Amino acid sequence: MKTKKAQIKMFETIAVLLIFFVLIAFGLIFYSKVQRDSIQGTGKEYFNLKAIQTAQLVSFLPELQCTSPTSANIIGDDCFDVFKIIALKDIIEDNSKLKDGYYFDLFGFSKITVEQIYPLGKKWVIYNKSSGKSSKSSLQIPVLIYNASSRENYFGVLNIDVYK
Amino acid sequence: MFINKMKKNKKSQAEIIGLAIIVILITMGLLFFVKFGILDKKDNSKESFVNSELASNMVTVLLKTTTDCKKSSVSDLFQDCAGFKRFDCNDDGVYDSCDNLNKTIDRILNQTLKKWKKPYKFMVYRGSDIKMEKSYGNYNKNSAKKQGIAVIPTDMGNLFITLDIYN
Repeated sequence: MKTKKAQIKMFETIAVLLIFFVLIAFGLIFYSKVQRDSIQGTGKEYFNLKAIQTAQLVSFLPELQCTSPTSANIIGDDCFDVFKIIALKDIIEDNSKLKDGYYFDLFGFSKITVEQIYPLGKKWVIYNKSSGKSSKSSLQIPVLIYNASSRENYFGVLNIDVYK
Repeated sequence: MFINKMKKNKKSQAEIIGLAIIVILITMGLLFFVKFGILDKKDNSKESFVNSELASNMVTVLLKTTTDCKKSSVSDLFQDCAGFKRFDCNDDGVYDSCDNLNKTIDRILNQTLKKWKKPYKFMVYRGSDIKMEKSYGNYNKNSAKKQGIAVIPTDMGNLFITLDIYN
């Protein structure tokens, strides 16, 4: 009878230990999942912030910004000069050293496009350097495209795609 | 006597196991609540920035855009449409600044916010008089929104232009 009592006690201890380990394993799995999600979230947030940073960099790029016809120092808000867009696009296209050096340091792996919405028509790919990965963070910002020769303002959109 | 004691022991053991199961279930429930209720907050820093930039830039850029009505800007057309209506865009004797304005704004909004599937409400008003109202998508009036505002002075008072972009 004493042996049976001891067996029952042993079984009890084993059951308690088993439940304890199951709880610990469950806790560990949960903790690792939460940590993984948190790291992934931080990575995604950084990726999105990079897109925002690139958009702001492009918006205030002196190579693209409009200047007042009367004074070169007055810069129009959210305005790109159409001739500056064409010039910068050509310079970056023709000079791979500039593209892979100076502008790569600024924009990294991204695609920067200015699209004319009204009147419909033109689209300029100013900078395009893909990392080969498909995942990207995109954003669009409306900008004014100023044509100095006709003195007309067109409605445009600045498209930014940042690759991982 | 001994058999009775054993029966009592077994009963208490079963109760302890039941209690343990309840504790495990409550713990699991709590963990799930923490995981999905508290920790699972969406990252919306990008959306907030994009909507805020969109709303303010959209209104600013839209007003400065040159239309095909005698090279006048959208802002000029608004002033005329809300005022004495003196613009004849096609030189056909019809004062059509309002029609031209409507077409231009429709074209721009369709090519941008509608194409990107962003719910919006565009409104032009003077006092309680609503001059123009355009909207797209399903949105709740109480849901989070970013607003772009502009004021245009006209012959008959200030004209308010608002663009609400909803999340």
